Amino acid sequence: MPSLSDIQFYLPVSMDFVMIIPQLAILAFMLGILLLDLLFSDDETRSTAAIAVLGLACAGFYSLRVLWGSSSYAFNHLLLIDNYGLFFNALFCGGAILAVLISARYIEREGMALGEYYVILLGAVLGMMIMASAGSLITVFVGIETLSISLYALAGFNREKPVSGEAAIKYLLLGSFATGFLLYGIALIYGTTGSFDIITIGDHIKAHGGPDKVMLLGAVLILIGFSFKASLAPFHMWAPDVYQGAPTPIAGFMSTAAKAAAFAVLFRVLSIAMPGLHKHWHALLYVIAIITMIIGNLSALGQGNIKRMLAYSSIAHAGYLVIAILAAGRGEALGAQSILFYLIAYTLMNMGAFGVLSALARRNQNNETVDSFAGIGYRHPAYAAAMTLFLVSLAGVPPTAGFFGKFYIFLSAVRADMIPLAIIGVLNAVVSVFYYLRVVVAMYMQEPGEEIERDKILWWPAALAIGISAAGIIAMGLLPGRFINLAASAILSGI
Amino acid sequence: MIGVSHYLALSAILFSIGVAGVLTRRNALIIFMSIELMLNAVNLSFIAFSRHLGDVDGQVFVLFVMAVAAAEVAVGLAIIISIYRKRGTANIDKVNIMKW
Repeated sequence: MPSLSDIQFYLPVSMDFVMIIPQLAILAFMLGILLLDLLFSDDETRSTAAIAVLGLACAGFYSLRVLWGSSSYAFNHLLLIDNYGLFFNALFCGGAILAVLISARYIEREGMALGEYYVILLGAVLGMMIMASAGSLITVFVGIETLSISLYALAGFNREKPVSGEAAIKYLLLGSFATGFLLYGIALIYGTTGSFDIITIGDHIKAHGGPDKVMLLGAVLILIGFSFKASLAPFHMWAPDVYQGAPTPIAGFMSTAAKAAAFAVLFRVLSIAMPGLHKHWHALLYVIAIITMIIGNLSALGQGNIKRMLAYSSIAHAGYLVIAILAAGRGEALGAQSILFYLIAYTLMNMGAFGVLSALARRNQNNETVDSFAGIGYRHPAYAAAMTLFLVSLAGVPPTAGFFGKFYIFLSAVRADMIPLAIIGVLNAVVSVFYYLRVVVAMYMQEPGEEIERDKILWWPAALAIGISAAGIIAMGLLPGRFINLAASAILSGI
Repeated sequence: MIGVSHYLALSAILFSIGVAGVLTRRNALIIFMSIELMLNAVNLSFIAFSRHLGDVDGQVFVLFVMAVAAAEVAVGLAIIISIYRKRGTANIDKVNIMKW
């Protein structure tokens, strides 16, 4: 046991703080909104929304324009500041901006307009940023929990609505249960390698050749914890209920940005801390990828509720992303790039779809179902056209972002010599076309039922968010090379 | 002589009791207490490893775990109370508007 005088104290220097300006900006805006909310009248949340968007834009801009290209450590290796983390910072900020724009009208209409909503949303973004830049299992844990606790609160934010509380309690209990496993895994890895630093852990595992059983158990428990957060089968059971019950913009946010954060940290930990265990996690994730895709797609087929259908589809998309991780693990450069490409595309198309849903579906009326979308194509042509674009892109039809996302993933699987996995993936993608197009068919080819009262006016922030998502999907579909180059530059300097 | 393996065994037993509690009990509060037991079992492992390795990082991690667990309890109890007010029960089998 070392005495106190042996312990090396690390004093942060100003450079450490410069490197985390995006995180600090989010924190400052979070606290600022909390204080400003006292000055506003009770139902005034539009100004808070505007301030939140400003903060997110600042943090995203700073990550992409100012810090971009740096490759260093902050706070004694607790955070790794590289293009990979910065890329994800910007992605999270972008996803959160879309979520705020969609929420602005939604929370007023649903009677849950409180300034805390945006504070907690920014808290979730802060947690994601810490996850994506984590260089130590300590920051991995703190980031994941900052994100998760914020999401527990957001899922139950609509206190008047019983399903919202139900979503929150299911998410809370299953989420903290999974946290227990993640922590136990971290403890076992710490006990066998003697460090929390992911680079040191990676070196230690490589240097000691074959892993012992305790270390393997620790790695498996950590993977279980991450699988839960990324909603990979068989740890996906929470996702449909939580997405269906949570406020619609939050469900969109959880299924995109939060999922991106889970994959960001999963890929970083696997590729830095666990290359020495590649053989083992490859076999495990291979099975997980297959069952995740199959369970997600087959369960989505029978869903009548569109939110629930999108929840199962988001499980299936997580399965495709695991294929990319497996390809990257075999040293296929396109695999790593396609993870980032797919996450941008998925964030745009899923946030867009949830944006249309939150604009059209109202409280206390059963109009989140596929049947209730009958005839929308004639009553709300703009929304229907956007929804069609998002669904077609989710299904992976060219020339949309979703097509190239899947194309790059399956191509990387083929190049990494995993042809069976690529074939299973393609077959799943074909099945998924059916349930996405079912909604399109309902919108355009079925007789409209009784007119459900919907918002007459187009509320411009939501329309703007839907427009941005649609434009982004088309841009990625027409110029996929640019985005794959961006992904490549985020990977090269980083991992 | 009580060594590190005794502490680790105790930690594993406590963790298993926590897992069993989560899986078998139906009251949200008791499930939540079982989860806290799991977290504290892990804390015991961290301390034992920290002592065994002669490295203080493990003890630092325990402080983080305790802080996070406190935050989780604050949010968790709020959610459980709001469920209880709406339905008059904290039994999770009764929280089933949507399919589990």
